[in-house]
Amino acid sequence: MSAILVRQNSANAIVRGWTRLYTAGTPAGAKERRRIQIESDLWEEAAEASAAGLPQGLLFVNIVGRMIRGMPADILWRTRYGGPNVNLSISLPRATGLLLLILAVAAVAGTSIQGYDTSRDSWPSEFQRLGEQGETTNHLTTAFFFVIGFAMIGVATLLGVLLIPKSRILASLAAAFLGAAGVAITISAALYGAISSEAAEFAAGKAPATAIAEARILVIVLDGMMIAAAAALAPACYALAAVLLRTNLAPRWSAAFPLLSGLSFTALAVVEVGRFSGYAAWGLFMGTLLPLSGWLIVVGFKLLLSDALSGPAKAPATA
Amino acid sequence: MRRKPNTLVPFERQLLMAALAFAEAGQPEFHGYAIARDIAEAAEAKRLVGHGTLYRALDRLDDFGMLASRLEDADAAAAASRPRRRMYWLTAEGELAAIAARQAMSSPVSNLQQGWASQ
Repeated sequence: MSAILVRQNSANAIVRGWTRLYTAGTPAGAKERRRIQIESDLWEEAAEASAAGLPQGLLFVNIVGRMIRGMPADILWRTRYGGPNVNLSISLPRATGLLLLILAVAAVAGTSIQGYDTSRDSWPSEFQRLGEQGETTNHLTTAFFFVIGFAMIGVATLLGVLLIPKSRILASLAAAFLGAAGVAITISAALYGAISSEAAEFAAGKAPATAIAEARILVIVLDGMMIAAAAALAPACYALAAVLLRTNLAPRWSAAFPLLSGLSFTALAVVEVGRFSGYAAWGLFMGTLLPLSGWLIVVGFKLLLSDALSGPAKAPATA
Repeated sequence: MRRKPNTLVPFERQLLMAALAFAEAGQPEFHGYAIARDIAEAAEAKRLVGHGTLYRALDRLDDFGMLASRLEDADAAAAASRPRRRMYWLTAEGELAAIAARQAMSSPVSNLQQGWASQ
């Protein structure tokens, strides 16, 4: 039994990390109760999988999938105890600026780094390479994507808390699209973990040749999730730009960035529907994301370094 | 939309019915994973319910007094080399609610009539 638990460490660590996050700031009794429930559940699921001879990759997906499906209920459970008692002394412009910079890093890293490459070689050789590159590298890559996904969900929540009082509809849209991008990246992380786990078993001679084709299907889904994340990020940033312009938090000239990106995004949609060349699609994809990344960085730094645009409006006392 | 206090959602009714089935099978006490597995098998579902959905529902039923719970004895868990389980069982109130949920489920006409009556 210890062997299976060691191999499930990455999935269990992800669930434990999420549990620590949403139980933070709750009364000790409630926190302890929930953590005992989760520990017992993780153990029972691993024990049952071990007895049934379930593939490790599938067990990883099952555990992380259950965590993701339960997230809305976890958040609702958490709301019973109110927000953590944090006294924010940072002003609204600075808090927004900081979140925009975190979002810029998460957006670029989450949509540009993949951890695998199917264009250079055929999938079987790439699958073999994934399996041979070591568990630590694969776990770090999986953890990296989870951090990016959670960071995006966190930024979506905090930007919603800060900006919905300023512009209810646009800020809600921005937060919803950002949250969707974060969920897509979190699902990608779970898929990457499953693929790399399967690849490690294949490289060690413990998985059948059919594992290559099974993993290929997961990679196609993963690629779809990354496209979904990028497609959700663009409208999120447009909505954010509109909120910040309307509330004078962003300077007027900064509208050039999302406008340029919007034109590119529209052209990209036409190209994708028309199935034109891959190079054109790639160029327009970059033409969409690069101006948005530039906007996030420029406006983020401007807000972080100066409160001059809108005065020192204070952020809510709780988050 | 916020739901009314003490109103059961479909998953909570499923939990109560599964708890009743455990009791009828001579196993009045169950833990979270066991009932999640039982519900998935009864529904012929491939996936188990999410952690958050399961434990939030169990906590709510505990709060409503329809389930009672206790933390398993530490020695028993240590003897089995596993973490301690939180064990749940139906209370008298929970049993009544489970029977009502089961009857409503087996009688779609009466369920429909209840729906009309509440409008």
